[in-house]
Amino acid sequence: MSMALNVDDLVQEMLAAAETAFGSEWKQVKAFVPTEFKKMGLQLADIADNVAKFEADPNDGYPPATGKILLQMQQRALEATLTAVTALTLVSIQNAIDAVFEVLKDGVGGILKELIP
Amino acid sequence: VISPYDVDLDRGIQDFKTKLSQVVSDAASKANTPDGTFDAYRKSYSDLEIGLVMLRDRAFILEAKDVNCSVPAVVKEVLAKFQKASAVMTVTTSAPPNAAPAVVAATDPAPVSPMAIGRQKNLPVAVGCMTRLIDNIALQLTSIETIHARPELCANKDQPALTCMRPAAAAGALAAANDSLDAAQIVQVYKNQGGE
Repeated sequence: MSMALNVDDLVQEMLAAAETAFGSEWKQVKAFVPTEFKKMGLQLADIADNVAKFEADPNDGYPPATGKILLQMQQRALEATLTAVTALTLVSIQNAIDAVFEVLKDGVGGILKELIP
Repeated sequence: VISPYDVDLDRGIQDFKTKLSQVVSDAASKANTPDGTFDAYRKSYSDLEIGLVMLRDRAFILEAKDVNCSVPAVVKEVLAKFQKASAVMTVTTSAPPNAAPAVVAATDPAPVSPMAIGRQKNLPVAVGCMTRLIDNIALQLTSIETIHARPELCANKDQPALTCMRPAAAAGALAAANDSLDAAQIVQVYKNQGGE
């Protein structure tokens, strides 16, 4: 049995695409994105492997139609991971805002201090 | 900008993850038996959906004043390239020798889920990140139900009408669903740790 899907090649292709797409933001996400892509590449190879097993023996693996759904699920998982990146960025922004307001609270008096949440 | 850590969401997501794993693993262990059919697990899926809807409602209320957690254009670009890279996977097999290669295309599964699909249409549009992540998890659950509910995906030669969760499919589906759940949990952990 041989597979056309090469995990390393796929991961490298995804990484190259991501690095180009993220541009200057790449530094912020490169710590974990390669790990996620590698994990995903292995899952994609697993899907291909199981479809091949089914083709050889219908009692093994799963049908191509199941593979389609699992591919969709993998793409959705990647979307969730990247959405989490957006969320973490927003948390960092929120913390920075809170820190600034704390400084303001300590540094100002009178009516302004009462207005700062 | 973004709502603070919420212990109920954190625990709820962990609880959902545990229950989902139990349901799918149990169904896989009973594949190709009457006890492993989709109908046998209808109540379990319904309970999972109810739990998820409650989490979604909570997140939606908590995030009412959050900024829009829109996925940046750059992320969409990465996803589009990912889709292109995995759009067609050609698998060649040694047996049967003259069989055409199986082609797996990354397309949306048809919505056959008996429970999840209808309700999602009526939900208010997600704004906050957690609500979006929970919607993502709901879609993963829908896909799991689809795999379990379709007889042709069980592909039992002797009982073509039987539905089941093949063990290999269960493993792949849980891996993807857990990635989505982990993403939601990471956000909660990050919030709980003060963004550090």
